[in-house]
Amino acid sequence: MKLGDLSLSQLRQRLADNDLALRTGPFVTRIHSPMVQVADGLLRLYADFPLDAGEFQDFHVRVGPPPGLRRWLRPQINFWYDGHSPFKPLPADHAFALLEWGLNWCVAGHAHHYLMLHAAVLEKNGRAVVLPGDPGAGKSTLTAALMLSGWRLLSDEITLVDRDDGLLVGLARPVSLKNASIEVIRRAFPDAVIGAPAYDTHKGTVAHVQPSADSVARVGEKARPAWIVFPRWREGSPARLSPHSRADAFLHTASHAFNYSLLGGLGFELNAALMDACACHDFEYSNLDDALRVFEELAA
Amino acid sequence: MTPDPARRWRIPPEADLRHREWDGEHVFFHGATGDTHRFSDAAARVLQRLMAAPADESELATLLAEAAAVESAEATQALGEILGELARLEFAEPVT
Repeated sequence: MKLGDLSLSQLRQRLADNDLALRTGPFVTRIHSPMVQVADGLLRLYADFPLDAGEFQDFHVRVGPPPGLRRWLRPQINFWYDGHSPFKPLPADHAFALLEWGLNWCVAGHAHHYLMLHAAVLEKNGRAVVLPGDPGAGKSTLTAALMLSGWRLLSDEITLVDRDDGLLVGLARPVSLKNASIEVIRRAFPDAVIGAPAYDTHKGTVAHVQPSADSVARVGEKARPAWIVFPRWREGSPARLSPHSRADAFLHTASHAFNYSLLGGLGFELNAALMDACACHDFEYSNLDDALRVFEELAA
Repeated sequence: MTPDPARRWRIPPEADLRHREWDGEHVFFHGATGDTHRFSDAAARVLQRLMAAPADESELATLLAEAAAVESAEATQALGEILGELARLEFAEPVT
């Protein structure tokens, strides 16, 4: 059964009853929430994802109002993982964004059977590109554009490297866009399904793009890494790839990984194998169409 | 560190060093501290030699002099700086 098989009222009831287990790639999350924003966001962006009927869930999360009087004075919400709240309360209309951040936090903090890099990853023609990127570099914009142009999304935030075979494992969850990139994607891809924006978050305005149906349907297919590309949006820059040192790429991905240090020697070996398998590039761009053309040539 | 041609160096036994080289750039991982560093080609040659077996400074200086085609005195000075840095990072230590 897919989440989209439920009506909004059915979904709200199951969320309120703590009776919804959502599978996203290798993880199953039980989501408990009375918030209509959570139900709306899930129905809009996760409709193609399967519900899980098993008895085991990796993560048990709740998004809802904190206890106490404050909920009446100023509506707020918080995120709980196994009864523990890792974040500060946020305005109630940030509920879906908070769920997304919370799900990232669950994976990044617990899935240590993978090497987890802070990078987006997409696949085309059997080869995957890993996109690390500093905040503001245009990584998520490029990720959304590539996915909406036919690349298969594995993740926009956390690259999972399988410790057994070094292949990349997908999550295919929505792509998080911020600020101006929301309108950039809306204009370039008018048919893209974009969730309700959350305004004035600590990241500015945030909205999520529905993953492509192909990305969700093939989320179980691991991908072979072929390129590591460091994107950087720069006004007026032509779209161009240039070589990037693999030693530098190693150090960058290791220092931005969620659990490289924790995995010790295994983390080193997995990240080194990733560098062995990949050509590394810097990528500057200013125009999305030009950027997509360069990636088409890369994957040809 | 004052040069001493007879002083022997080794990789700390607990270090469990791992190494990769890509296009002439070297990255080493220290298994005990969990630290990862990129080292110069010269430092990498010293470390790789010590990973094979302990060696004295005279031998290491000769290795550097031949690799870089420089005079022995220049190699000895460079070696002192390299060993000082490797010792500070606990990637190498004198054999006591």
